[in-house]
Amino acid sequence: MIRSLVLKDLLIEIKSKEIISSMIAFGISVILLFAFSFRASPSQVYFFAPGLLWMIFIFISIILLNRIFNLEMENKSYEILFSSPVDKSTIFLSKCISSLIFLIFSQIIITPIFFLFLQINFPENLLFFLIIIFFVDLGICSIGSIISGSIMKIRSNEILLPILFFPMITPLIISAVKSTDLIFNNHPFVDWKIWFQLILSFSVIFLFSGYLLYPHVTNE
Amino acid sequence: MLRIEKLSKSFGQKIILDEVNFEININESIGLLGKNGSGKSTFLKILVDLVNYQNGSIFYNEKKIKMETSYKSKILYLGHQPTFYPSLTAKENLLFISKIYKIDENQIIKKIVNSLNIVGLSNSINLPVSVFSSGMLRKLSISKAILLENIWEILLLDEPNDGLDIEGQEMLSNLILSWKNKKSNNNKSLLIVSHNENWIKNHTDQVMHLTKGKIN
Repeated sequence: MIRSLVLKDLLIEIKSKEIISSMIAFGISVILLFAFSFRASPSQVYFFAPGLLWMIFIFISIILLNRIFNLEMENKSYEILFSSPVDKSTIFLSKCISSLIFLIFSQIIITPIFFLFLQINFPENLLFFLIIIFFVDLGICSIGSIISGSIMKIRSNEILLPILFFPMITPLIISAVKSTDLIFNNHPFVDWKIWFQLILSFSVIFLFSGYLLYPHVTNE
Repeated sequence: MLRIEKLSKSFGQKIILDEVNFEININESIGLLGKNGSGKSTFLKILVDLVNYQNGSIFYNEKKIKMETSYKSKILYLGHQPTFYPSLTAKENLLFISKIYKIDENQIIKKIVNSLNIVGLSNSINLPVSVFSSGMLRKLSISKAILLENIWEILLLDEPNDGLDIEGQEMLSNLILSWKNKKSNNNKSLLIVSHNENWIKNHTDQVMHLTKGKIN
């Protein structure tokens, strides 16, 4: 069932090309703005790069979450899903997976451009960096799907989403920036273990909370 | 088959449904009449979990239900505003619906083509739904009921002939009659909401009225 729901989201995106193209365009624009606006020395760039990278990822997530839930609002398409024999928790998981796929795909394009234009080297512990990105993405998509699902029928939900999303995501982003900073500076795992544990717990807790809460927050 | 006891729903201070009792049995077709804003559509939406209710109970085959998927697969709702994914084609929309209703994979395409043929949309099978007129959307919605004919036991229709041309209205009438006539074999029940009294009297066994939050 999840497969059919995710494939539907992917098919709509393949046809409309609205979500990923706007995420990538926005991400690249911010990178270029920073790269050409500031003449920072390499050490200064390394100082603010982790924060900047995660700022870009958060803002493209907002574009993603707004759009992926508004897909269901067009022609009230959500009625197809919510009146059908599909468990609402399954709908939540499918939205998380679809969001995760779109976010990772955009990051695959944006991240190398970020390193290229800010003239910083890829971290030596690339695998650790990718693991951090994956689990933070999972947290972003879980929290974002809970919030977006609960406010999608409210007018001006595009404005409400960042207002609710940013405060909730703050602990996750602080952990992401801290661990990314330590990975960029080639610190051993033991130095950023605590941040990784926080990211992992945060993502898993919100994934399960969303699974349990989603059926209760989506009705009119 | 489907029994509703003391169902209440209000939006803010406005009471829409006031301790409504209602029952639809196997092979029954009921028409529900009411003025605009009387709560007819809300009533149907409550039955398929699109709107919450404050008080009351819903029983299906004498079992109290909490909108389980097994119940929702037996109730098909065709809303007043047909709902489909606009960027997908008619075929892709029906393919997706077939999958979530778990229709046998080997028969899906054949059934989709057949259902679109019946409603007269076979030429529009590969067109995106965004280019469909309201009448075509209504026909596509009806094709959903044909496609899932072997799955649903109760069909909820909200103003089903709105936007249909004469040909479409005739097709819908024939379908409703065929479902009513077939019902002795298939256990089909119909609950049709409309404000067109003559039409509904000609298409249902029994007519009820929703007035001031009560069904009589």
